[in-house]
Amino acid sequence: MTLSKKLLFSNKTIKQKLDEKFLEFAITLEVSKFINSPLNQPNTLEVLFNTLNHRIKLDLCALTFLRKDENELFITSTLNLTKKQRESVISKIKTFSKKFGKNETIVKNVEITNSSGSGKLKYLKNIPIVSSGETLCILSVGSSRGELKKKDLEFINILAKEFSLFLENDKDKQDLADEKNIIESIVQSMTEGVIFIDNSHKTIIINNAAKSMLEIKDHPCGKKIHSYMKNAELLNIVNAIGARLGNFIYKEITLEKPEGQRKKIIRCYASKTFDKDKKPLGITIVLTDITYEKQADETRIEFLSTASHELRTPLSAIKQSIELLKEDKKLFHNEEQAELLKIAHKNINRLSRLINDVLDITKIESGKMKFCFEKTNILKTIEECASTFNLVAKEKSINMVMKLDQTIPEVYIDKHRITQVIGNLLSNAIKFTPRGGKITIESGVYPLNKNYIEVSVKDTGAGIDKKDIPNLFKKFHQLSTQPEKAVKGTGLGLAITKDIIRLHNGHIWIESEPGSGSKFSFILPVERRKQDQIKKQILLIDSDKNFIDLVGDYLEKNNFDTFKTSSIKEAIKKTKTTVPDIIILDALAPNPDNYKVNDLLRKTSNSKVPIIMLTDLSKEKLKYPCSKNIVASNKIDALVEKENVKNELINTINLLLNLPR
Amino acid sequence: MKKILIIDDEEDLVNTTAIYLKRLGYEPIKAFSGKEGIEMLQEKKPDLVIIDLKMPNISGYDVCENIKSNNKLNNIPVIISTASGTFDIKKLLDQTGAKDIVIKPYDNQDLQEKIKTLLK
Repeated sequence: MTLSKKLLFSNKTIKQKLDEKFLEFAITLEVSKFINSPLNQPNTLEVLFNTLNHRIKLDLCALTFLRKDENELFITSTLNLTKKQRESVISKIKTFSKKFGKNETIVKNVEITNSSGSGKLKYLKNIPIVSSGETLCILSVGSSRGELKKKDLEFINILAKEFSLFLENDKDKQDLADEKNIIESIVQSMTEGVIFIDNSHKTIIINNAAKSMLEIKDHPCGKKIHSYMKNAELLNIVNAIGARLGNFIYKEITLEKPEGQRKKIIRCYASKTFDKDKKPLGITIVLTDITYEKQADETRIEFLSTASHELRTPLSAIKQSIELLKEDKKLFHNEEQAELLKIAHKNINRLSRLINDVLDITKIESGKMKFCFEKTNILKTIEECASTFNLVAKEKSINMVMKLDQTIPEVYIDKHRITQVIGNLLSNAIKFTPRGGKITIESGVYPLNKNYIEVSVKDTGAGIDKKDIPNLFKKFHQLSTQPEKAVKGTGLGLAITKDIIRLHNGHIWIESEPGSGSKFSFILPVERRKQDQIKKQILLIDSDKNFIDLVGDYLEKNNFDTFKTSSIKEAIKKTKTTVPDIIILDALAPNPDNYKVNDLLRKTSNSKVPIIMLTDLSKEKLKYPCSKNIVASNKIDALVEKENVKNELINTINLLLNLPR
Repeated sequence: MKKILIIDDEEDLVNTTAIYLKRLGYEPIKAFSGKEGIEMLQEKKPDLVIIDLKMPNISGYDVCENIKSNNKLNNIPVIISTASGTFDIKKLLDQTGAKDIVIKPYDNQDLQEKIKTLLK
């Protein structure tokens, strides 16, 4: 062979090979396209199958699924097979597969019964298609002429790989769809309302419970929550989370109902929802109808408070009788009688303490405990309270030591309630301190924050077990180790103590080391700050009685306590005993001295009380020199027009109350 | 004179019950805790015991268990005294091995009859 001929030959071979490769590539490409397009399984498989059949002349081409629930199978054959015969071929292939597992099998000379008697496949290759370690199906190719060409086999192998890739993808997609369906069913069947909105507040999920709770009739999916949600409180929650005021908000919301129907109370948990990369997805809102729980709670509190009152009546009669008997010393014939009466008296007192404590707890829990805040010298309160315990302490030879910082500022407290707190702590300390022990009462400015004062009661008792500490302030909690032969408490003292301190915006805590005693400390803010539990007091001064009543009613409806007066003298007198949180003053009363009143109030009351002035004039027309001067000289904090009282007054009050002063 | 042990952490109740039992002609023995009760049981060998269930540290249940498992003590009749209003009497008696129960605040008359029956 000459060199040129050689070259020509090799060129031809190369060209031929390139052509073949190109074709192969084109087909693979075509197949891949189908695989990546979102076609359903049978369709895609059919396309793959046809591609194979088209490319290579086969006498049998079958795709056999091994899963029991798969009935679909693909089989084409030049051997003219009936349905029954095809099934027998499939079962034969399945037998091969069982024998060889995940390995390829090549079977020669397979007899196949067909319509014209019988046929023979000289060559049958079975390729298992494995996905996620499981053989899903078998691709079988057979020829009646003999072994297949090498390049055809290569092509078949490429397709088999594509098959397995496709099936794996498809399985994932199927799993995902199943999971989504399950989650959707779960969400829909929940009795809690569930709403999920995306970052643009568009509703993605809302279940039936949420729809019925919020009385939404249409299908709001895809709509912005603001477009269909009527409840302002719920929208506020959404806005607050949207404004990054928090990742989680818990609130009880009230759904107003038409006249005659009971209001619905819904507990609402709203939380910012993140994907696994911590990117915000939206907000999930879970709603629970707690109307019945609330109702039951109210009934319980009402019952307890009525019961306690009812118990007190017979109790006081018994108490009085016993006290009268005790006084009458001539009655006793022996020691025993005196002893019995003493026991009766002691226990009657214990019972009334218990009833009082139950009543207190009930009041606190229902938010009905009334506080009377006054500027108080707490040292005096401590001393007075401690002196009532002197006798009991002496009986046990307990040394009571006071370390009181005389420079402590006066604080706004309810004196009786704080006396109750100190009394509780002292009686506990005496109870748990052994004979000859020591109790130290300390008070001073709280070293960590100068805006608080601190009071502590330290004993040399047995200390408190670590496991008791978390439950110490709970109702009816009794310590796991009790001092024997001690006076019984009600089990409510510390629970009440904690609540009283909490309602003073203070904090109480305990430090204790078993064996070396306990120290209870509490702190109280020197200034009164915003307190949700306690109504704000508003001093309302206007010469027009009708107008006062109108504004007063409106303020009371909005949960404020008002003191209404048309007399300046009375107003000044009032500020001397209790300091209001806000003073509202009429600007244009017939009495021009009102502006003097303003100055006077500043001097007599706490200079930090904000003053709102009500005016009849619209703001542009505020040319009245006095009021203008007052505003300019910063003597009043806000100006509200009388005609805008309904819109502006509450907002103005809240704004002033929340300003740092 | 039959000896009756009263075990209760309510000191006053032990004292008043003791006064009453004395008047009835029994010899009362006082114990103000579970621990003291168990000591008195062994020391004084009472003819009957009244046990309060709810006591700190060693409870009335513990004392009952102690009596039940002690051959020398388990023939002493036990009366349970409790302020709890919710329990199954039969179950409680089975559990504690007690013979009877009085519910606080108990009538002296009721207590007297129960003691009489058990000491016959």
